[in-house]
Amino acid sequence: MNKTYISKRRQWRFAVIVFQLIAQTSMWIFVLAHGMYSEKPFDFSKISWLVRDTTWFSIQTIYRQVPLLGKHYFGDLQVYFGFVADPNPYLGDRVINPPIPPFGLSFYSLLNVWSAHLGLAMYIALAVLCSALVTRLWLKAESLAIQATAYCGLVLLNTSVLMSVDRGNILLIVLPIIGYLFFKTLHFQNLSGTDALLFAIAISLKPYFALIVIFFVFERKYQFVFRTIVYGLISNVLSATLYGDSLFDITRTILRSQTGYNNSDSLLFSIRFSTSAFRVLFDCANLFWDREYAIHFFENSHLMVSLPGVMYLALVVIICSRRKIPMWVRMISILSTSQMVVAASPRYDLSWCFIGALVLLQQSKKLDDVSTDSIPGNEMTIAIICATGFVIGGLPFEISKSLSPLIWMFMVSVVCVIYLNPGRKRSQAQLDIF
Amino acid sequence: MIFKNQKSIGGVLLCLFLLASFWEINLSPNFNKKIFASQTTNHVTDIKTEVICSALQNSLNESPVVFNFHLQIPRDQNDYTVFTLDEQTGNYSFVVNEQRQIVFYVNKQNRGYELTDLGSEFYREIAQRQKNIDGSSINDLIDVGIVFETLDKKGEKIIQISAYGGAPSPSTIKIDVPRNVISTSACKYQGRMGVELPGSEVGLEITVMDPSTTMRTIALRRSSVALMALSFLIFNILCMRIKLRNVENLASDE
Repeated sequence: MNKTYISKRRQWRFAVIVFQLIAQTSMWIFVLAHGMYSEKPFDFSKISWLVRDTTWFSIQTIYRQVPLLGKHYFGDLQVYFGFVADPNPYLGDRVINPPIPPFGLSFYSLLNVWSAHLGLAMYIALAVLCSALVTRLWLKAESLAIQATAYCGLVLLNTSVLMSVDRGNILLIVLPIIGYLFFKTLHFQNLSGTDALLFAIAISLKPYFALIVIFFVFERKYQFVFRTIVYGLISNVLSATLYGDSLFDITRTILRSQTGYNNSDSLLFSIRFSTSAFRVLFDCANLFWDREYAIHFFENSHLMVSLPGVMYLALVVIICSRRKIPMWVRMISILSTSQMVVAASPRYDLSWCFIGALVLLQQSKKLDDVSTDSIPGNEMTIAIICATGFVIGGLPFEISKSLSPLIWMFMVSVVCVIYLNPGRKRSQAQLDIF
Repeated sequence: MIFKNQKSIGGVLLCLFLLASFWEINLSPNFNKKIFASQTTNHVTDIKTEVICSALQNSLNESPVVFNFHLQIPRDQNDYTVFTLDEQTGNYSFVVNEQRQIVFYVNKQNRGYELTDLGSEFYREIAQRQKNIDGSSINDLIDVGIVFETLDKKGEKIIQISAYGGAPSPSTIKIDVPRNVISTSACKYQGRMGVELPGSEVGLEITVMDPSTTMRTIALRRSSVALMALSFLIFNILCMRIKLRNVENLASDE
């Protein structure tokens, strides 16, 4: 019986991987047909685009970026290299302040010790290594061929992932850390001090991953959360001494930078490039109103820009709080907040799908745990929605930017309806009695 | 038990090592000397002087590169002079441009520098402003600019600027050293620019350095906490490995 069940799961897993691979390969054919490289900055319709970001230390100071590899600027890396060379990047008079805490900046500084070019080489090597290791970890029961196929489909041919690498974004190093922690939570239930330090590093590099703490709190990993907070605080206090400003001012600057992405301050960027829950609301507004009027409406309301993300987060918190919901569903829900909550989340934030897909393709912990010979219908429904979401994340930007957030909104709504609807619960209970 | 003791001793030694490294990298005065030029010991304690440095780096095709300094000098300090001093060559001076900025020219003629000594105009400018504007308690702001000659890709240099002399507390002196990866092969300079008062002086110390050593030092300094965290992680992973091996050995013995 168990063998049949495992076989079905494997069958589905293999089908999803192949489907993902086909979708990504089609995307690549589309990209190649339309030209891979765009001369337009932030052109998400192409696989790679020109980035001419500048790092401003003050109104008079501009650091000019240079292409690090061919035409590629790897903007985020150079922006942060600029920050770490600034004696006080958190000063209020800077045009752009780092949106991450000092401990995160110290890692960028480590990359930049020798030169920007060597830093880039280290960054790419780490991104490839970390993503390969976490893929192998999640699929270690599978054959090497399936592992390699999954790696190609989820990482090497995934346009969101490639865009994040082209952008010089550190997501592909941070996400494997989250993937590793989820793997340990799912399979061992025990998270050590080392894991807490890893999580503190991940949050310092990408502060919005702090939302994942919600998942660990509801998983009752209190000691782990406490250790993460302690390690994070100590590391950041030590690092703050190197950046010439008080910890209070640094915190205020980071909060200001972070909130700027979730209100009208970045509205024009959000309208063009957002792939978050805000996109769903804006598209709805566009259906009924003129575009100019919609922009004017959101311009005047910070609340309306951040509201969809907050509502999405509230739904995810409810999902995470219900331990009856399968853990993989809760994991995918909390992971999706990295794309959905912040209004200005751009295309490369869809890279989280790479870890989400690994969670979806998980193997059962023990064969003995399996008591049925089929996948439950509820789980199957959610899995299909998630798989569609992951595939759509790799489609051309014009399609994915509206569809992807819609699917994730749909997914959490379906989870809430299936698992939290009191009417369904009652009928289920009655069925159980009979 | 033995493993526990080993781990504790190892942990304490690692912590001590990391703390010592952190102190050496970040707090040791010897280390700082390697980065910044030596500070003068003259102190001005009876005036408030604000030094704000900023820089504008144009693209490689444009020239020149301008560094602007704002020296905020109290209006009630009449007996002062603005000076520049080149410790290496003496090949420079400053002028006042239309925006009352002191402009310091450097180019490749005349062994790399073009000299224009118009310091007296600068003094007259200050005197004129003091006569026209009433209210001695208001600080006077002098903008100082350094203009560098056309740049090229070779021979990148770093301009390191620090304040010296200075005010009694850090809040009254703001030092805003720009990144300054400027590409100027012509620029080779170390000197001072500032305000001289009776018996003391306040100003900027400007040093052009080789980025391959200086930037690396600053980057190393700032990455020390990351290095500590990574060392801690590696240490813990090694400990876990040893523990696993011990458990396996015990199991095989039994």
